[in-house]
Amino acid sequence: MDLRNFFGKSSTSRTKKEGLKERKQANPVEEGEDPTTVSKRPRRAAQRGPVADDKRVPKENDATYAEKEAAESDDSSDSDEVEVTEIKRRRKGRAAQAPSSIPSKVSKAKQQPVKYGEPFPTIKREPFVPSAEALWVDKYKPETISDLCANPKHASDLVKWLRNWRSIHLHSGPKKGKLPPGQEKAVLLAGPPGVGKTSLAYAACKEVGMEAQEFNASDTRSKKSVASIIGSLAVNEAIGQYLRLDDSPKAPRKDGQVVIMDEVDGMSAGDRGGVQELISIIKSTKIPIICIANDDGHPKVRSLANHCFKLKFRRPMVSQVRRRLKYICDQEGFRNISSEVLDEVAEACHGDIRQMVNMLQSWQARKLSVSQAEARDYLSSEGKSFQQQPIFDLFKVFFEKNADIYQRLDKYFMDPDLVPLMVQENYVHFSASEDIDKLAKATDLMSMADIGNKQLRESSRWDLMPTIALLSSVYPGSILASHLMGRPNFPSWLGKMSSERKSVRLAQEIDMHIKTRVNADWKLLLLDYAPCLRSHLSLPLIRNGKEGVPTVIDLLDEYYLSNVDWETILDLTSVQQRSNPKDSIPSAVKSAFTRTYQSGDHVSSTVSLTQMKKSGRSAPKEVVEAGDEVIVEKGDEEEQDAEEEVEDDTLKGDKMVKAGKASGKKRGGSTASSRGGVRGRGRKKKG
Amino acid sequence: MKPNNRGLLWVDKYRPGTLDEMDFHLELKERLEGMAQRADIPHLLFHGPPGSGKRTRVSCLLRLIYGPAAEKLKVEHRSFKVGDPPKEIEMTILSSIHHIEANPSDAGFSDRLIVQELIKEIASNAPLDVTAVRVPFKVIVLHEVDSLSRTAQQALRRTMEKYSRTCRLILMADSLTKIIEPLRSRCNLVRVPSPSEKEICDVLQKVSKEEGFELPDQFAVKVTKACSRNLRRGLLQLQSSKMDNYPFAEDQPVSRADWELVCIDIASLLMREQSNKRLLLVRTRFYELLTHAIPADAIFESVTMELLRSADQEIAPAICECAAEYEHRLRQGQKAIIHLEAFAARFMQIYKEYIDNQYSMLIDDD
Repeated sequence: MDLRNFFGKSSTSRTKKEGLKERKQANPVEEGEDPTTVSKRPRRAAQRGPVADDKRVPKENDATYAEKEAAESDDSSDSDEVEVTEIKRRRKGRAAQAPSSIPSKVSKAKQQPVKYGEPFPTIKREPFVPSAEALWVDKYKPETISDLCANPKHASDLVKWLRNWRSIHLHSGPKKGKLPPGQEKAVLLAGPPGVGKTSLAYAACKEVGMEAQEFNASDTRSKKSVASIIGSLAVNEAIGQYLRLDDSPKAPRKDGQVVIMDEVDGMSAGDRGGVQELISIIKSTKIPIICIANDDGHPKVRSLANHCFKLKFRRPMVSQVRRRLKYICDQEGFRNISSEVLDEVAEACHGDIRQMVNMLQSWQARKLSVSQAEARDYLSSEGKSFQQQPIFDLFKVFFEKNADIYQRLDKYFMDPDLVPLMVQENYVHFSASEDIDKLAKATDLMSMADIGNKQLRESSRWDLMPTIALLSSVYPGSILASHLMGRPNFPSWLGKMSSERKSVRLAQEIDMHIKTRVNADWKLLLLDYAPCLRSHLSLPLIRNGKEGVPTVIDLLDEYYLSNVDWETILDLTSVQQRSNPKDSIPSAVKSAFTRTYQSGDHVSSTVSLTQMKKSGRSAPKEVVEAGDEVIVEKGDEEEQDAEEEVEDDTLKGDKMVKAGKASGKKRGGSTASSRGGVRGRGRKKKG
Repeated sequence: MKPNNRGLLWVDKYRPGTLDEMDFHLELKERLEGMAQRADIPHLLFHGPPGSGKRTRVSCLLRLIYGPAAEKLKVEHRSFKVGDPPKEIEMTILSSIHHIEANPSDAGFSDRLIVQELIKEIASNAPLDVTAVRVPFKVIVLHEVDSLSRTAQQALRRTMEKYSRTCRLILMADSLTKIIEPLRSRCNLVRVPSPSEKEICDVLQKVSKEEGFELPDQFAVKVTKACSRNLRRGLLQLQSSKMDNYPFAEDQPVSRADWELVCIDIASLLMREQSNKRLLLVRTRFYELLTHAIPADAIFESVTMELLRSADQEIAPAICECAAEYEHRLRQGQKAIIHLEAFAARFMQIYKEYIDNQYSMLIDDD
């Protein structure tokens, strides 16, 4: 005990001191780790308890010892259940190599040998836990491929991939270019939680006899640590397998290692750069890497997915999990549960097997038989109770007569974003809306709801949600309760909204180019200027054909607009259908216009919104022809000179485009570039 | 008049560069000149309807204060990191070495942060030796202050006092009513009313003489009527009309922008039939306008004006009331289409009721 204090380990959490005492006195040991961190994976078959007891081996360093956790006192009563399932290896005192500890799960075949490769191995013997206390999810974790309920194709794919890995990537020379599908160096298991991704990874490793090293969100996975841990691991081979002392035939030789990166999409904030590092490791790895993620649409995961063989998991169907649930219930003496109830559980959990099992266990703790009615009751209070309903069915409830208000509110909250939009899109299609008074009332309510909506977004007034629900959907729906004429439409607002945004950006972009010339912002520009510009930019081409080209180009140059802007202006100002003057310009004239424009020199502003968006501030500086800056001389009596040197220092990195005023010069000369000096640059394009 | 801006549209070509060239509101000229001579201006709030010459007067004032350097403008598209947690907001800024112009209401929800950030940044770059320069302050011109959110206006009122030593604000607004009282009290108000119809007519004629084309009085009056005393629009319409057809024909209509035509169309659709199907049709028209980036308030105004023109005077107050109501909600809300549609539906209700009444009265009389 003194020694334990000396090592500063927590001993308070130990509960089984009695059993340990004499052994500890005889052979001082170091406490390994907190028992709560050890995941328990009891297995029935093995009976290794007594054997393992003797495997304690003192390390070469006097001050440190391996400690094996003692078996519980009730070992004797249930000795056939005793087993050793977990070894936690620790790498301590080797900070230079690995800053953080690597918990790794090794299946039981590995437990017997003492690893001389490890400085402080801690052999743990799992205490037997009576079934009532063990989590069923751990207890019935699938151990073999055949235990898995769903996605059988993925299981066989993964096993095949692991089997072939070495021959493809190690023994057949370097690969060039993109690898054919199924032969990538890493695999990505993506899917919703609880469908068995991690279990499959372990089961597959076991199937092919490889050793799994897991890293999950509990480990630091910053760029640096990922690099140092996996990097070294991926190019090394475990020394343990060469130094094994145990040659019992029961422990098959492990054929290589596999790294399992669990919860990849959880790599964030603290794990800066982790994903990039992981990708570069994948490129150079000498051992297979299995990545596991929930959301394969996440940008981080998407970039990773490009380098991986992707296996997308589906939620298992009720029929697939029914048998397994039944088996678990039978094993646990939870016999009075009908398969209908199990089906309902499976339904309510949406394929999350982990949740199903947890739920069953919690029920069993209460009573051993559950009727269907009770099950429904439980499900509504603790299950994932929402039932996904297609939005087209969902919103119709609001227009039903005599529907319960609370029911409608519940339906609203199933999709609080889409429901009001659906109502707004389709309320006109209900027959009751023929009554103008009702129609006006309903729209009025929706307009009030929109005010609440802005409050909600702007100042996070989430408490307004029920009010908004009533105003936007429930009340208008009940006013217009009637039957739907025709088919419901999907909210067009979403599409219109994005094209509105796009148009605004285009208008702002033109405004930026024209700003030094015009006394208006983009709204006025669009409302007043653009229509006039439109007729002057199009009519000469329509009436005079090719002779009109120079007039149009002159006007563009005068306002520092480009031929791209020309098109944008015509598009933006043509609100009425089929009114775009572009369509009336003969194509020969149009191409003449483009050609002439491109063959001349133009002073045009290159401040660009879209560019800003695309490249951002940290854009590569080597972009030559465009910058984020334009300086335009307005008062032409002034010569462009050294004054431009007083530019903001912050802008130094950016390209500056100086547009000399074309006033005194004739177009077609090298106006801008000659005037702008070293830093300035006009845009020059030769057709 | 600058002869060397030949290729520009008339509205830019004949824009006065100095206060002396102004054609109307001469009383304002003296006031502004007085300010410029003392080389010290108070915070200013220019207000008046669009197309009355606010911006022109401000740029003339700046030129008077700072000289030609105020006309060397550069456009910048900058991103500001504001707020907590910091987020990046982009803003287009027009600036010379002495002043800076921005339209913070473009930043939407974040206008408050932009206002604070912008002023702090400018104000912190004060000239080192204040006595050495003639004008010891910079000017920040903020456009569309009336569409700033309440919180942004509140933020403005404190910052403008705090930094008044190194910078002055010139605020621009269409209408005073949307500006909070404390902000108004901190500024010297400069009202720039719309020019009278005669003044617009005179300017149009003056431009036609400079350009050397024939503008019949009758057509000038037509343009004046069509532009609703917005000189900018008037000049642009005149130029478009001349492009459409010259010499002007007797019955030639004034050239209208496409979006205005659609608004007129919407109004006539609403007048002709009141039903849910009509509302659907009107919705597609509204969407056409919105997807072409036409601001919803402009649609409101244009449609309302058109409705007032064609509907009976008896229901005009009701129309105005409902237009005002929904335009106000539009400002407080998010999705323009909902409010536009609510306005259309409400108008149909009002109009239908009125027509039905008229009809039943007719029958009673018989």
